[in-house]
Parts: sequence; C-alpha cells; structure tokens
Amino acid sequence: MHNTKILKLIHRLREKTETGSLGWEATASPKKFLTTLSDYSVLISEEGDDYFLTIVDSWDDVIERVSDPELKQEDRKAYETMKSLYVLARRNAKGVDEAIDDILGSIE
Amino acid sequence: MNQTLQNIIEQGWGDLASIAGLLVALIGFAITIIGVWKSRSAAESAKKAAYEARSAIVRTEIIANFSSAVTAMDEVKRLHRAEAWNVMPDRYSSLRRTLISICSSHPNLNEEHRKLIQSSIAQFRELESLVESFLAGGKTSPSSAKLNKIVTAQIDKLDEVLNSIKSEAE
Repeated sequence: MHNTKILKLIHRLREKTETGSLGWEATASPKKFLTTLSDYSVLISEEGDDYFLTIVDSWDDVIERVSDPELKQEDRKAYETMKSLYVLARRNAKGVDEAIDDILGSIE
Repeated sequence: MNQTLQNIIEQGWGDLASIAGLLVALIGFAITIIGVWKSRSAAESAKKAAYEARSAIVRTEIIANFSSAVTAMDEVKRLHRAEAWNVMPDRYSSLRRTLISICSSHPNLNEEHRKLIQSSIAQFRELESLVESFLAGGKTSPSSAKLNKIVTAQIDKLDEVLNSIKSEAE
C-alpha cells in the first residue's frame, strides 16, 4: 500500500514535469535534482545503477527514501519509470529544452 | 395645595412634564449611544494600531533574519573560494538552522516564499553532504565555482522573498 502511494507520486511528478508545470533545480551533486512541493523537498538521484527518490520535510528531516529495486514488486517497470523521471528532471533543471529551442531557432 | 394641583391638572402641566421627560430620556439615550460608539471606535483604533505595530516588528525581524542569512551565504562563498572545506559543514548546518527558524517563526510567510526557503534548506543539505563525502576521503575536491553558483541562486531566492516583503510593507 505504502509503495503504491510512492509509485503514484512518482507517476504524478513525471506527468507534471513532462507538461512543464513542475520545475526542478540542479544541486551540488551532479546526479541529484530537487523540486519543492508544499512544505517538502523531493529529490531524484542516480546512484550507481539505481534511482532514488528522497522526501525531506520542512525540519530538514529525510522522511522517505526509496529506490527502484524496492518498488519492483509493485511495479515491474519501476526502473524505467524512475529513470524517465530522472531524465525529465535533469533536462528541466539544466534548461535543455530551452537550449534546443534556441539552437533550432538560430538555424531555421 | 389642592388648588395648585387642580391648576396643574387643568392646564395640562402633567402632559408637558411627560413630554419633557420623554425628550430628556431620548436625548440621554442618544448621548449614551454616541458615547458607546465613540469608545468602541477608539478601542478598535487602538486594536488596529497595536496590530500594525506588531506587524511592523515582525516584518523588521524577518528582514533582519533574512539579512543575516544573506551575509552568512556571502561568507560561505568566500570560504568556498579559499577552499576552507573543513569549516564548511558547520557553516551549512548553521545556515540551514537559520532558514528553518525563519520559516517556523514566521507562519505568515506565503506558500511561495516558504517553498523558496524550503528549497534553499535542501540545497544546503546537499552542499553539506557533498563536502562531508570529500572530507571523508573523496578524491575530487569540490569545485568552488560550481558551489558558488548554487549559493548565489539561494541568495537570489532570499532577495526575491525579502523584496516582496519590503514592497508589501510600503
């Protein structure tokens, strides 16, 4: 039940990032990206071969940290889902889409 | 005596006295209402003045807290340039505590402002984690330029919140 909720959150974050209604920030760690929702910060990171989602509350306590292997039982595609969120978050934080639009604009 | 009373009754003095009494009562009532209204509006004015004074004190306190956080961030940037990594974890955690205390002691901050501060807290947590890993035996020294880019972004966020609070006060 608990992991089902986490998976629902990951899917929702992915949708919102894809539609551009959720922004991400780069952090000091090159493979970790951050967004803030309500009173919580959510981080998506690539660590070795796995992807991790971390939730930090307003008191700076890590209240949840989950990796794709832990979610595999509920969702066989957990790895692909988290990787996809990670890629979208990275692109958003780095402004990749804006850069590509600018480059396309200058060569068209 | 009886004659006098008879005259009063016959000439309608009793009715006049009743009317005069009624008028006096009405005037008295009106004066009382005005008095109550005046004292009520005076109490409300005093309450409003007290509220405004309290808000001004809270705003001044927020501005002072933000200014001290920005000063601490500028100091962090200088220490990054000097590559004083040993002292950095304490600086980051002190900054996080300051930001947490700003959020918790000022519940009137709006959601957007709280989100900006919350993301700054998370950014300093990541900075601390990166520098701690390096101090624990990491091979690559952190790039002060990259870290300062992140700190500058946090200063910009606080400036945005601070300017918004200042403009609300004007």
